Amino acid sequence: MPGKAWLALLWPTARALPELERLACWAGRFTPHLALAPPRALLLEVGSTLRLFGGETALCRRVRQDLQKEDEVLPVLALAGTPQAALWLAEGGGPLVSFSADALDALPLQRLSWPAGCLERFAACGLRRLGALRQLPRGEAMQRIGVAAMSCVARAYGEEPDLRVEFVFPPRFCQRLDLPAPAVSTEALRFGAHRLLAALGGWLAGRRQGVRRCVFGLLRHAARDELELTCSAATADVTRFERLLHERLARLTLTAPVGTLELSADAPEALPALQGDLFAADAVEEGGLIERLLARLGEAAVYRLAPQADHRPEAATRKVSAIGTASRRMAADTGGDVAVGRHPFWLLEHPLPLEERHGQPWLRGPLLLLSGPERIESGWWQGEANDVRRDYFIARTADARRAWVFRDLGASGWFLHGWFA
Amino acid sequence: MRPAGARETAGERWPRNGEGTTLAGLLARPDIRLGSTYSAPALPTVASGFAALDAVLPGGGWPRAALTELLFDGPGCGEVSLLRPALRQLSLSGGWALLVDPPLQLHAPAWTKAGFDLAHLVVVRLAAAQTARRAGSGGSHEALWAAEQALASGAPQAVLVWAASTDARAVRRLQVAAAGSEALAFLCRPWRARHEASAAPLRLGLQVEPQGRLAVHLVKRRGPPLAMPVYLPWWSDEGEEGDAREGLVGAPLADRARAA
Repeated sequence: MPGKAWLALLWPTARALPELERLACWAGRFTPHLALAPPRALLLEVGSTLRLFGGETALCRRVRQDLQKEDEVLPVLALAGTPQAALWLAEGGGPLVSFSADALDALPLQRLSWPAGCLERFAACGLRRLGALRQLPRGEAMQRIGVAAMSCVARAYGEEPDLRVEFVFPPRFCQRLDLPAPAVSTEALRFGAHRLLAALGGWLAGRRQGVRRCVFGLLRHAARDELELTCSAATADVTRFERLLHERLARLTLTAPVGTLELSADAPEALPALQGDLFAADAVEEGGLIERLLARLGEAAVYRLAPQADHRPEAATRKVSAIGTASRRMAADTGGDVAVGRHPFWLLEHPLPLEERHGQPWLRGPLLLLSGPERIESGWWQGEANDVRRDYFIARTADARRAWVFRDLGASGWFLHGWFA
Repeated sequence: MRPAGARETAGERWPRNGEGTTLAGLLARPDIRLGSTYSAPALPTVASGFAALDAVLPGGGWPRAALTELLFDGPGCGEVSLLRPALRQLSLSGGWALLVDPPLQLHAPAWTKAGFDLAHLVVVRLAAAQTARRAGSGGSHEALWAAEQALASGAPQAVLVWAASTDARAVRRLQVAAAGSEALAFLCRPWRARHEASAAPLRLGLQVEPQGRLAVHLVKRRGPPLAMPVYLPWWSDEGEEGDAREGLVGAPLADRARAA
């Protein structure tokens, strides 16, 4: 197997110009080393990754399959020892995988791309095949055909080094995709979003990094909507973002057709090493669920709880983010400063005013006070509204449940505030 | 007449010199089964933490991979205390629980004091669904979705769902989701729902009594019906302090841990 192998992806001229930069990001999944060959080709250095993908044919099949999955226009693939040779093999349409000079020799000159004017000169010299051009004495060929063209030939055969500008994966991922037709349904958006996410996946693979969040921009003439997708931890697995996106799109109604999709992601992070972490799989699984719940139901509806040092029962619980281990640790550590008496598991959002009959609080029957009072008094420094002066009692209802009721010492009157369970 | 082989094995273990003819001897024979003892298939369960309850639950505890219905009216029927030992046990082994649409807010200090690790509880409360439910249009759709997702993901070790209005189809969907998972799955419904047919293999009714006992009615279980409720300690008026409260419902579990 050769040390270097270049895979050329050449998109057919009959179709629209390929978006090379997006495709280059996408191709990051196959190799981190690649070069753009405008206007229609990408060159991937795959010598180091061929074995990983199971050889030449397997790699080519995989590239085609992946492109088909994204519904991209299929390019011609050719694999050779130098980038120029790969590109020419793709153009010439001969054998598509070849590391020998013979295959290059047989390429028809007319089908290859050359510096301007070369094709006429070939015709004038009666040259048909690349082999014939190469057999011309070097000095004569330089004179008659041109230096630039002959150095192309030398590079193709590996006689001269081919110094190409390597594609640099941008530090911030931001790609746009013009939809073939303005999307009126979220279904059509999904299709375009899938392509962009595939590019993001390649970009991350090429950088060997992951991101925690990405933002979809839905662009129409002047307006722009944004969908932000957040994972619990940095990930390079774009299918997780895709699942989140599907939850969001399922609840989205488009008010106007969307012409362009934009996907951006920044602050990529190094991915944690997988080895040694026994719980990595669990963490991902749990994160996946909570991410999906959050994406569909919103942050206000999905949360963990933590006690908060406050005497007022209604302020003694705070919501913390359901995501992430940091917040979990926080939830476990803080709070608990305020010693509580016997408090109920359930609390009413707003205390419910109770009737008073014969000097007793009444809830579908008399409430029998079992124990109390527990005086709770605090919050005066937070203003009139938060000033709390209450005597709490545990009361038995007519159906034998235990309620948490209080008598408001300020406004007077009985209130139901919670249930023991 | 039984086949000779069976007779031989029975004969080995149970000598026939008169012993097999007494009633007790007959009942002790392994090839004779009493109708009132349920056939106990090897169900994966989690000990409820109450010996009296475990004794009547098929498999000896809360079933995994099956939906358990808790039927009671309103919050405050001992539902949290009943599940507390099992949830704590799961949380100690690193599991966490998802609470879907509890009817009221959780009062964090009380849960912490009762020994719950709040980091191991995730709450889903759907304000929109609640308003819809009040309007009577069956707004527990999202709650059902969340519960199904949770059970399908296998991430939480326990999923508790509160639903005021759940039709038989929703219960069936939850049971199917639960059957495909390892988690404990509980569905809290009003007591009146006991008259409806349900796909859940285990259904318990909860009722608190004036003296503070919790009566657990076995509305349905795999095995023979149980006419009498199981009584569990729930409330003690002396239980003002945290320690006493701890002893109240936590004791059975502690005993078990010591015994094990």
